[in-house]
This record gives sequence, C-alpha cells and structure tokens, in this order.
Amino acid sequence: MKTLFNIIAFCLLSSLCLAQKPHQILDKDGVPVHYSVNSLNSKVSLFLEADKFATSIKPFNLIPNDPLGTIVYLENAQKILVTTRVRKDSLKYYRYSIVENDTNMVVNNALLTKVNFVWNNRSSWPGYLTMDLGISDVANKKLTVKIYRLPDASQVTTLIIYNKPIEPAKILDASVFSERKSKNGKSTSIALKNGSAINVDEKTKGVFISMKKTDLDFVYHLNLIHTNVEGDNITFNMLSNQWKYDSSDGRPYFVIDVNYFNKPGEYKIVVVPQLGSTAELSRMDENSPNITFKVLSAPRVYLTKDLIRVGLWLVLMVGSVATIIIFVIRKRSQNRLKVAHKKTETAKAELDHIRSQLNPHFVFNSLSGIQNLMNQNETEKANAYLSKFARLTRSILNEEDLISIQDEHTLLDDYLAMECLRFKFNYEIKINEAINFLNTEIPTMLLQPFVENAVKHSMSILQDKGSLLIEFKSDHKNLILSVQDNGKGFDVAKNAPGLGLSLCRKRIDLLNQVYNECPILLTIDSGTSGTSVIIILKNWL
Amino acid sequence: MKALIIDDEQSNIENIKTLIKLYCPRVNLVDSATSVESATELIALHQPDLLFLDIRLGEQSGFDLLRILPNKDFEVIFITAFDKYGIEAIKFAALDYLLKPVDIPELVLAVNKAEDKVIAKQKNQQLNFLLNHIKNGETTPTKIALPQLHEIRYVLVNDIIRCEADNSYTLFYLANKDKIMVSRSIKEYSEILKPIGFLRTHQSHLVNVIFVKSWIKEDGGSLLLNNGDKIPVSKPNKTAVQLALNRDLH
Repeated sequence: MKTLFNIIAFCLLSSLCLAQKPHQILDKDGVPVHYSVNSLNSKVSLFLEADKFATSIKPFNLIPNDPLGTIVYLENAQKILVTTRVRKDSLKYYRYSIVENDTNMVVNNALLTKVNFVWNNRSSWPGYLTMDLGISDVANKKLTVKIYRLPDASQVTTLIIYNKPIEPAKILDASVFSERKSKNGKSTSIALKNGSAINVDEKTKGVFISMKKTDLDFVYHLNLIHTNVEGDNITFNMLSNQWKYDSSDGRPYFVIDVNYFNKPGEYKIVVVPQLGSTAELSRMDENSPNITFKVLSAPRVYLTKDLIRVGLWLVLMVGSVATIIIFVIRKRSQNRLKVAHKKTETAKAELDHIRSQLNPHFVFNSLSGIQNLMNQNETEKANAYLSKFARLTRSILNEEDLISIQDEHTLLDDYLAMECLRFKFNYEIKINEAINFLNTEIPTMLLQPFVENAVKHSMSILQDKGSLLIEFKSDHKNLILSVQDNGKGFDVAKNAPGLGLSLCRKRIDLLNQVYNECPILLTIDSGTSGTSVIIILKNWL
Repeated sequence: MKALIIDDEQSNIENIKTLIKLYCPRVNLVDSATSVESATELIALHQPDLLFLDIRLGEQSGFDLLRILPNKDFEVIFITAFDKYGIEAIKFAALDYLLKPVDIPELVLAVNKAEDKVIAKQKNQQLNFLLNHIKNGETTPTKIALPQLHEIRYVLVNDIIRCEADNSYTLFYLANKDKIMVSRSIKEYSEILKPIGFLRTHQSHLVNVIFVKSWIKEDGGSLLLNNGDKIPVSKPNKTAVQLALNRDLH
C-alpha cells in the first residue's frame, strides 16, 4: 500500500516537474542541460536549468573575495528553474533570500517550501528533497540568491544569476601621478588623454584609471598593450578586475604600477568585460574603450646600445656552455632512468608470476567450503558464499597490481567469512578512520598469505577460541597493515616450509624495486601467545 | 514490470528465473529466449519493460540484438561471466550489469534501479549511446556518460582535463572550464579511463595525459597541466607516472 502511494506521489511530482519546464534547452544529444551552480566550497547544493531561449550559459564563475559565491552568466533566457537538494529532516534549517537587480528584495530570509522532487529510498539520494527556490522569470534581470543553513548563518552561499546584456565599460578619467617633493609635498597628477605623450622617471608612481560604476564591476578587466618604438614588438598584459572604490563618489578605480610603463613606446589601456575564461578575450576589439598614450623616455631601463651588444654576447656564450652541460646531464639521467625503468619492468613481470603462484591455495580452500554448504542444503548461504568466491577469483584474475583499501577489506572479509564456515573462529578487520580507504590504493593481497597462514595454523586448531585481528592504521605518511592471531606461534628464524614466507619476502623485495621511494617493511613476531605480522608501507600516504 | 530473459544457456535462464521469483516478486517474467532471432520476435510480441540480457549469445551478442531493434523502450540489465571489452563499453555508458554467478543483493539493487527508471518513463538514450560506442570501432570510445541528478551528461573523453576525488564523488574538470560532479568513486573511472591514456597520479587525482604540460620536481613531483593546474604525484604512483609520460611525451 505504501509502495503504491509512493508510486502515485512520484508520478504526480514528476509530471509537475515536467509541467514547470516546458522549454528546456537540449544539448546536441537531446539531453536537458542541467547545471550544478554552487561554489565548490559550499555545502549547499544549487542547480539551474534554463529554457530554450537562453543562447548562452556560463556557470561556475568566481566572485572575487567570496569563496562561497559563484555567478552564472545567461543570455536571453526567459525562464529558469533553480533548485537545491536538502535532507528532509534538515529542511527547516534552511533560509534564503533573493534580491532582484540589487534593489528589490523578492524573498527575505524565507524557508524552502516548494517541493520539486522527492528522492525515494531506492534512489541515489534517499531521504532527500529537491526544493524549488521559486525563481522563474529572469528576462533582463540580475538575481542574487543567498542561502544558508542554521546555525551557520555566517556561511552564506551566494549565487548571482546575470541575464542582462553586458554593456561596454565607460572610462571616466585617467592620469599619471608622481611624487614630487617640491611645493606642498603632495603627489601631482597629469590627466591622460588619447594621444598624450608623457615622460616616466624615478618620481613617477603609476597610472590612475576610473570607470563608471556598473552592477557587476568585477566583470570588467583591465588590459595593457605595449607597442615598442620600432613598432615591431607588441606585449600584452592582463592586469586585474579587482577595482577599488573612491570614497567620495564610489566610482571604481585602479592604479597601474609604474613598472608596467618602464619601456618607451605606445601604451593602450583597454577595459573589457571578460566572462569566465580568458578565451573570452574576443570581446576586445579596436573599438573597446581604451586610453592610448606614448611614453617618451623610461630612465629605469636606460642602457646604451653598446652595453646591450656586450651583454648579448655574454648571454650567448654563457647560454651555449650551459646548454651543452644541461644536454650532457640530461642524456646521462635519461640513461639512468632507462636502466631504472627496465629494472622496474622486470620486477613487475616477476611480481605477476608470483601473484599467479598464490592462486591454488585460495581457490581450492574456498571451493571445499562451498561444497560443504551445498551438501548441507543451505542454498541461500551457498549463494552468498559463491558470490564471495566469485569476487575473490575475479580479483585474482584481474591484472591490476593495486587495489583500494576498501576493496582489499572486502576481499579479506570474503575470505575470512568463507573460512569461518569451516572453523568457527572470531575475526575483526579494523580501518583507522584517518585513512581515506575509498581512494588509497595498496598492492593487492599483501596480507592475504599471512591471513591464510593464521587460519591454517592457528584458527583451525583453536576453532571458537581463535581470534584474528587485521588492522589498517596510519602513522604520519606511513601506512601500517597488521595481522595478529592468538595461536601457538612458530620459529621465525627457521624458514618453515609450507608457510610461503620466502615467497612473501620475495614479493616484498620486488615491490620495493618498483616503488623505490616508498619501501615496504615486513616484521614477523611469533611467540607462544600468538603471532603478529606487521607490514609498513613507508611514505605511502 | 514485464521482463524477458535472453541468454544462450538454458541453465542460466532457469537460474535467473529462480532468483527473480524468490527475491524480486514485482518482476513479471513473461518469457525467455536463447537467440537473437527469437528474442527479436518475443520483444515485439510482449513489449517488455526490462531485459536481462547476456552479452554473449552464441556467435552473436546482446549488442547485436539491441542494434536490430528499432525502438528501445525498455531498460536493460546486462549479464556476463567475464567480458572485459563488453563491460568497459557498458561502464562508459553508465549502464547496469551483473556478473555471473549473480550476487543476490546486486540483482535486487539493479532491478530496483530499473524499476525507478521504468516508472519515471525516462527515455533510454544510454542504449543508443552504448551502440554508438561499439559501432565507432573497437578502439577508444570518444564519449563517456556521466550520470547527474536528473539526467546523463555525455562528454568527450578528450575534453576531460582531469578528475578529482571527493570521498565517494568524482569531480570532472572539462576543457571548457565546466565542472561536473558525479556520485561515483574515482576508482570506477580510473578503471575505465586508465587504459585510454589517463594517469592515476594520486589517490585523489586522475589526469588526462594529453593535457600534461610538464613534470615539476618540487615537493616530490607534480604535473603541470595546460590549464595551469598543478596536480600532485604521490610517491607510490611516481614510477608508473614517469614511465607513462616517457612513453607518451618522447
């Protein structure tokens, strides 16, 4: 009954969703375009869909000085859908506000009320709701969305949706200013106009430029283009979009340091809107707002032509000697690298060989366990153990030499669960919480032979009095794996046959040739009260 | 939910039937087929919602069957014993598959997911995507399906600069500066992207080799990418990364 209700609710909701977005944009595969638009640092998720009128969507642009803010540039969109995904039980802690065009407060510190989608228990987000922020009409608007979760009222995630044409910048004034001790001791400034010619000397501080205030100042970037006196060398500098604000009239201004003007020639300061990436520079053209002026002299880099010539010769000579030395050194290190790589590859080949030698133990022990279950008519259990066995076999057949700690844990658990069928011992596998067990990889089945030994020589005798502890721990950059049992132990010094210890040692030797910067150390400590095997992977984390 | 089983071995069909009757009671098994021909007829006759489809069907394959069908208004759960190439293609399309012998919890999970999709009546574009992959030569696939919340994004593999792990999530950085978050672990993508030129440089990083600009020696080594990103290379991965770079850059 409950399921039926869920299905009906689900259908209703999904048809509602469909009704809300009649004009979705589809990409060339016919898939609706759905953007995740919250800042990566933010814990609040935000998603945006726009209608088919949108001719451009540029998500994920940073807002300067706001690590939790992002801006989405839209062009010509009419309607959009903005949603957030929240846990059902924390819904009441969310507050959000929306300001339209910087002035009109549309929503003020409100609760999320409009459900867009309910994630059921079998979905990828069980217990979550997708909530609609109730934004629809965006034609020619700038919307600022602020959202936070109580009690972190200071961690406000900001999303600016900018769906307006971006106007060219309006440069208000520009000037060169210098610090001259004469007169009243204040700095002096000379207005810069297109075509001005100025001198730069020790007293010159920089160039001041201001523009008309907009509702999105940081989109306007300052660029500086220098053409040398001969007119054959053009350099391009992207300066900044971090405008400062005049305390009297609030206009955005910027001071370009004099060091940018230390060569004579023509300078052009261009102010252009730049959305997102630098690839957007195409917006700059001949007509972009600019101030162009000449620098006549620049004493800071004054050098005679002779000096330049001598300097050039010196540079050339030093350069060629250096090149020869570097070449020789590189050739040598390349050879050394080649030898090292060859060694690594041989070691890898031998490792593969050893791995396949570990197989039979594993396979036949496991199979006999399942046989036992079948003969006792325990079908369900046999199924479960067969799955475990299949996982183990697949992992052995797999040629990968590294495995995530999580998967290694699963394999050890599969193996021990299977052995527990035969000898009813106790075991535990612990992973230290500090370890990123999902993503950290280690050589496959490093512990397996030692675990097999413990089962074969101790658990099989002790049965329900046997206990086995496997641990994955971290110590700074080292990863520590250990196996401990409470068996009667063995003489470590004697190379006991049947324990496969020599094989394990050889494998670790080979691994150390492959991973030469992170040596693997094996310690076996065995006494009458038990055996402990510790493998340290140095510098592994 | 109407379902068909297609497998060339009768014993496998019996096995799936038994498991479904026991563990997935909402699935109504209408019929089964052992060849591409009979399956084509039965699909036209029954219009099933779900196929349990073996990848190998005698001389032909489950993909061959999908290719013949004009309409694919059904969900597919692929089943295979050991088929590296087939599984890889399925993973690229972000579709579901089961390995033989079938693990019961995995079967139940896959059936539940398929049921969700059938109820939501999502159009099955992933199947066409999968077939395109296989058709475009058995070489490297050009696109990968990245499942998002309400949809699947299809992305050119050569547009992926790098992937970064965030616990069980993976964040894709694309050449057009887009970022896509996928709720699957980096391990899954490492498995399918490593064979086509991605480098696992670090437990949290997977890098497309075509975007590698240079090797930086400082702090034990890192990679500088064309977009300016600096990606750490952890000590255990150093040798493998250097080997791969030597192969690709020289």
